[in-house]
Amino acid sequence: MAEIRTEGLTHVYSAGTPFEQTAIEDVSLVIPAGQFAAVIGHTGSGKSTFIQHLDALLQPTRGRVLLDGEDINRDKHTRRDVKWKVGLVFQYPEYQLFEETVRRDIAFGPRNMKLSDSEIDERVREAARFTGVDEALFERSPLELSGGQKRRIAIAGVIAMRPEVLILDEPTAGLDPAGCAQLLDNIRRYREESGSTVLLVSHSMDEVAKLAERIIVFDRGHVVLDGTPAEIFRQAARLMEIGLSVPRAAEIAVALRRRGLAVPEGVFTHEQLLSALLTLREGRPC
Amino acid sequence: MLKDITLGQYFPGDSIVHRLDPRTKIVLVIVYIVALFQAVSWPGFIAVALATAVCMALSRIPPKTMFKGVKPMLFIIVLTALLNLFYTEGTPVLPGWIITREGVSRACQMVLRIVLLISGTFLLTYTTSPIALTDGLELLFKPLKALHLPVHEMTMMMSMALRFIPTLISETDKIMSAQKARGADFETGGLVRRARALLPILVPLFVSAFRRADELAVAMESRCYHGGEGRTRMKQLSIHRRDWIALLLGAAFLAGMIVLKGL
Repeated sequence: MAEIRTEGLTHVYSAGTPFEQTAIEDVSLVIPAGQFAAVIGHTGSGKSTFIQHLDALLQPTRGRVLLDGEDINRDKHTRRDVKWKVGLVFQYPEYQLFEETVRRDIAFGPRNMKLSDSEIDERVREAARFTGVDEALFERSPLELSGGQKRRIAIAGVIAMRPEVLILDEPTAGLDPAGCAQLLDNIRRYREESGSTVLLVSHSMDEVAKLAERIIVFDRGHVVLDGTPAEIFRQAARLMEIGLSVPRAAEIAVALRRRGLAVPEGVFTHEQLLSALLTLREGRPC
Repeated sequence: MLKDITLGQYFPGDSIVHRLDPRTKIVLVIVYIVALFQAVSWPGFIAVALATAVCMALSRIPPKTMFKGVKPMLFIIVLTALLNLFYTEGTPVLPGWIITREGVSRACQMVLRIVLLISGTFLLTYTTSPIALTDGLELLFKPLKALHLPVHEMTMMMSMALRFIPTLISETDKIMSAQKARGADFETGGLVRRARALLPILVPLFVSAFRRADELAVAMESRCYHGGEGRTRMKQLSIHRRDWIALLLGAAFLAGMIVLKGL
């Protein structure tokens, strides 16, 4: 499995024009093989720019991106080979569907890898299973399916390449709560069964609080916080300062603390909040 | 990157050229083109080139950017130069050569004419936002309404098209990145292969363009858009003293060019 390392990664858009804009500056991170990490930040915080570097879709203005110790931007070939190892699912991936049938669309990536037909078929079925796409849909046109189904087909198209690192940019944006939960569950299961590194980009803390082992917070092109969910949510006040939502439970905990109630730090799930409040009541009977 | 296309791009700024009324600038560009074609000899060309340089300096657009706009036309420019160089009759530069002195001079003049034509018109689009440009056009062409020409509809279509060019470019960029992430290869192979490789971009692009058009139509109708009848604008265009001065200078320049041609 693959480890990602960035060294002093900087990207400047439209350098040398009045539209010049530094999207990310001096980002140095290590994402070890097999980790489930979440990248969180505001719109325009640079998180999308950051992940596009990991797939060599953008070339750094300064700095390097290393995959298992190798510079992915060394030449044309490494830039192309990295696409097989790092699977990137863009925001609203359903807008990239183009084939006549669902099967052919999922097979687009494996076909570009020049795999044999039987291998492609196996991967398409496997990817469809992981993302919950019914094989009965295989011969339908992807364009006539519902939004949620399209989204799952598009994600299957990336998973079918069996990437060692799977990056998803806001995969649940615009889905209903049930669709969100199901998709996140699919991603969790994919990661457990394949052991791949997963990088989930999101701006919803509730979503990542349950799933990620590590949270990386971007703000105005810099990594401002980086740690386990417990470490990050302990700094709820700082997160709100950046303008990020914190899990509902953590938000309530901060508000209660501000009103003088001794809710302990590091409370960020509903269960933790409930038990903290119960302990408080026992300690101070009304 | 697709984002770096400069053709007809607006370059924000606050120079005197930026602040001129779009109508003034449109009229001046027409005057400029007419004046440019009055130039038949070197003094004429030099006069136009000087005028262009002054306007460019006033607009504070970096010359580098101006020339970036000329680049896509390089092929036409080189072709014009070569044709004029080889097919003009006159005295050979050296005895026995096909290239004549007149040919060299003509070739230079033609190249200069094209470059000036492009930079002059680009000065308009560089210093005028697309919205201001179409507003100006609509007001200028208003008299044509008497001939039952749908002036408002045409300019509305134009401003929408202009408005959506950047959107579609960034959309294309996004789709290209997404397909590249799935290993699509746009750079290698023969003509047929490359054309086929465009399908994964074109299909989603068309789908989303239609979706956008649909959404835009609904959004406009839900805000009671019903064409140009009785429509007022938030930003009224107004002619200032600087516009009159600019127009007068333009007229004087054109007159000078005509006189110069007659000499």
